[in-house]
Amino acid sequence: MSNYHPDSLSTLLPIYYKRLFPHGPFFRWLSYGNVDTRCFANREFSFTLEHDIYLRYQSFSNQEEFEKEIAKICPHKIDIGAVYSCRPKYRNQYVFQVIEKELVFDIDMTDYDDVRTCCSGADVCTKCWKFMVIACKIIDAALREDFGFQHILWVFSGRRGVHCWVCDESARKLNNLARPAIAEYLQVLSGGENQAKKVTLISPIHPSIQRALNFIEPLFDEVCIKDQDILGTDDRIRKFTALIPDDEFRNSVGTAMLSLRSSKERWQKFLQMYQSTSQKRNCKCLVEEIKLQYTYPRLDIHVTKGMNHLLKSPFCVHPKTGKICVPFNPKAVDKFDPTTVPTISTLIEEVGEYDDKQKKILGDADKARVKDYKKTSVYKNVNVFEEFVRNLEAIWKGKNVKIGISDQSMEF
Amino acid sequence: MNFLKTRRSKKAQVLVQYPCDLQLYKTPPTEEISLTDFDKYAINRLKVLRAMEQLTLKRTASTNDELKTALVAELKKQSLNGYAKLIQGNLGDSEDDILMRREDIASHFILRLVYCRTEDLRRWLLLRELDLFKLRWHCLAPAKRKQFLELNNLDYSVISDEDRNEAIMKSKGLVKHNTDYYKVHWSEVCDLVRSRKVFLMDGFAFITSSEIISVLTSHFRSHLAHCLSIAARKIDNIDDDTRLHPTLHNLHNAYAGESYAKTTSTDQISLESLEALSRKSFPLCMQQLHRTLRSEHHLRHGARQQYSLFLKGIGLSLEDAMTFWRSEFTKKMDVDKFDKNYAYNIRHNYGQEGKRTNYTPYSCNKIIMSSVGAGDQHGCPFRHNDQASLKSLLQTNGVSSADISEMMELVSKNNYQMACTKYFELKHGRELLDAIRHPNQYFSESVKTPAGNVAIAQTTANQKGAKGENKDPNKMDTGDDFGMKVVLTLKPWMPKLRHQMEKFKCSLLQFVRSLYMHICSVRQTAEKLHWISFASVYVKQKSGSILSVFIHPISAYKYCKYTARVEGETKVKLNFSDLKL
Repeated sequence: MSNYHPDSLSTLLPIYYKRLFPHGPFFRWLSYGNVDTRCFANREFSFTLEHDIYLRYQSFSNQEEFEKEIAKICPHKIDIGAVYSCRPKYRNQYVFQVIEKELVFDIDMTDYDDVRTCCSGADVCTKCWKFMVIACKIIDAALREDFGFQHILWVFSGRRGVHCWVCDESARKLNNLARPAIAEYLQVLSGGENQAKKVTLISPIHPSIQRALNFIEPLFDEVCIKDQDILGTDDRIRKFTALIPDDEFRNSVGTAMLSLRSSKERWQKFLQMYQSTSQKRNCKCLVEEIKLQYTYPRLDIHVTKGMNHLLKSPFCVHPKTGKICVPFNPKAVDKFDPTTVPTISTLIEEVGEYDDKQKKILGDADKARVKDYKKTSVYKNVNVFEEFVRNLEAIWKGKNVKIGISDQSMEF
Repeated sequence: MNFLKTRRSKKAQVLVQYPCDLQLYKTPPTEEISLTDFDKYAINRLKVLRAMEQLTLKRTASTNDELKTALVAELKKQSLNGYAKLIQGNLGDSEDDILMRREDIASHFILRLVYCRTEDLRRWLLLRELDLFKLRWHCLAPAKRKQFLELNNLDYSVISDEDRNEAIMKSKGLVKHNTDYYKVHWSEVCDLVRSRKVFLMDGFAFITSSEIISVLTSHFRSHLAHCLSIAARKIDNIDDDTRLHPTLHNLHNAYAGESYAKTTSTDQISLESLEALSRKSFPLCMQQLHRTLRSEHHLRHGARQQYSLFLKGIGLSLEDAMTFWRSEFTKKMDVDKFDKNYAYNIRHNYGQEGKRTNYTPYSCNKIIMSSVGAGDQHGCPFRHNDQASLKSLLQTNGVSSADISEMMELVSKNNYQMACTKYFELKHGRELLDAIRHPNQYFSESVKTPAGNVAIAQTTANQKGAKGENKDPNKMDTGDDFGMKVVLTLKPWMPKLRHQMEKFKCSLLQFVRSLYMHICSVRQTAEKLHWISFASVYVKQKSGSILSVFIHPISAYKYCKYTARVEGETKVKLNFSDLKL
């Protein structure tokens, strides 16, 4: 893979936007079957240019206008905002209110800093990415099974997290009361810096959490005990035992653990002691609570709560890593590897290599009409995106026809 | 005869128009109301809502039944017997009862006019009416409940046995046998979803008949919110009516409670005094944020909002706020990054960016109810800290273990604000008339506490807390109060005093503090303080601020006697006979 350097971004972006950015499906996505033209035209876009120049409240009436502007200014980052009651450009002249907005979720690896030991801050590796895998599975299942949403787009955020866009019409129309409710429904960890134990379950365990536990169960040992080694040092043990509410039991677990060597042995010992202890009054679900605290998705719920919150667009290029914010299939999230996500420089090289090869085989005469992204490793991600857009359009198809017919009859 | 006839027809009319005790208030009254009634209705309903607010704030009543008993008692005390009856849901067919029903409806619509003007007023009315509605639903007899649901087209049908069996299987014990369930869209029961109290499947929530109130409140809320925003747009049309003007304009001022949005120019506080104030006059929630900011040089969004609006509320100017936040944040990041990512946020809170609203500081209720995620620093320490960290926080603030366990008791019963009130009283040595319901109220109460009291509470706290931490045995650092350092220097010629000092450390410190605060309270500039020189109080001045106060113990004694004589009462309560000078 070619090395990306942030300084080269400005020279690479014009080519990227011109040849690789999937403008077609992108426009089809945000116009939602074009039943209501306001969907795209009144949508707020925000651009970040070089040197952190920030342009808010941009809007475009169609794909052509959007493409032209992008090609002209080559933004380093594109953010997508809400759909407003008027064109954001004219927000000072008309009533300017949010009409609709996808329900979005943002999960960032930095929120896992107190449970991951392999990396911290902006770094991410295949070990700690497993937290994201668990998070994606749990949230995706909850959105589909509990809330009945179907059109969910998962996107790698370019560095250390994932974004989730729920695009069902009912989701886009949710108001300021429903969004916090769904956000908090999915926020099982509560209590801030000053509360060690962040999960307290009541019996019977809610089916949504039970399902989450089913996802966590097969991965917990691998992720937490083996990879993260959560009981590896005295410090980590202290953190762990702080989750045990009963003083006596906590102390005995603490001392027992210190006499053992590995995380695995210590965890086994804890399970064994918990099985046989009689002091379960305050902690009937302690094992489940601990597992949830270490692995349950940590959402940045402010992003979900607000109607007008901006979120980075899919297929943006992350300015620091050069990686493309690629959509991925949540069913195959186990196979997603953030470290091998193509960078903008890789893609542009790949296009060049492909063209060279074609030239050698076919000569100059024949210009194969292959879409440029198909020549690169971002191909499969565009396919995920296109499939998502196709599913979305399927619901509108019937409606479009109806509108078409009524339009015709109007002419007579 | 005529009289009776009109009364009877009125009764019939009310019955036809409003067949049910409980209302979603969808149809406004169309009959005539006298101006006296207009005023009376508005004030009475407001009294009810205020009483309700006080009770919910105190959180003494944990169940609906307790709340009902407490509210009914309170209303009877204020001789609002009609409302007491209305709330208990046992209005009959008598003349008065029917008229009460009429008053309920009319007064609700009058208050809509009074409270539609600003976002804050609308929110206040919405919350209060919602609470009242919930309580009234709770008190309503089953037959009347049924009638209400039918009248409002909310009579959902019970789900079939097959559906229930499927739900029972999938919900793993949450949905039970032998109970009737209703199926509603999840967004109609947001509060149940939020707290994960309901089983969801494919976007539908399975609720029991006792949970129907959740659907009702969401209807009630969205309907009232919608109506209030319409009223706000149209209120100008009736503003010209001089007969209604006084009631509509003045009523909410008299009753909405303080929002702490504005600070008068005299209340300005300076940046230098912030550190000292944070220890002396900040409630625990803000003190905790202040400390975190000082040590971490960063606060997350929720914490930033909570703290910066509080600071605005106590009178920190925008310029000072910017300096303050920048100086902390830039210890960890460069100025550029701060200006780009955080400065906007602070200006926004001061109404200088975006839609230019002057945002109000968070109330206790808002802070307590706020959701605090992993890693978040905001919230109410009594609510969001776990026992261990709350205990140690109280200990470092010099609260004795007996008092701590008393507070823990309150916390375990969810009386967070009472625990906070208790903390205030300990720190300030006086009782509060009202419970703490706003961090800014805590602050203003603290600032207006008479000097002597603070001194006593502070010194006892100091004595318990930081004992013998003085580096120089000849100097006693009293800590920086009011942003200035008060240093009591023991002259070598005071060996006797020094001995006594150790014994009565508290009294002397107390004296210095009280003296200092007295000086502050008479608002003398440093230069003018020479007038006290006869009492041998020297004030050293450096760059305009008072640096230290040196005291000759004998003169101090004199000074005390002097103040006692001059002011007729001992403002500085000291007993110097103990010192035996």
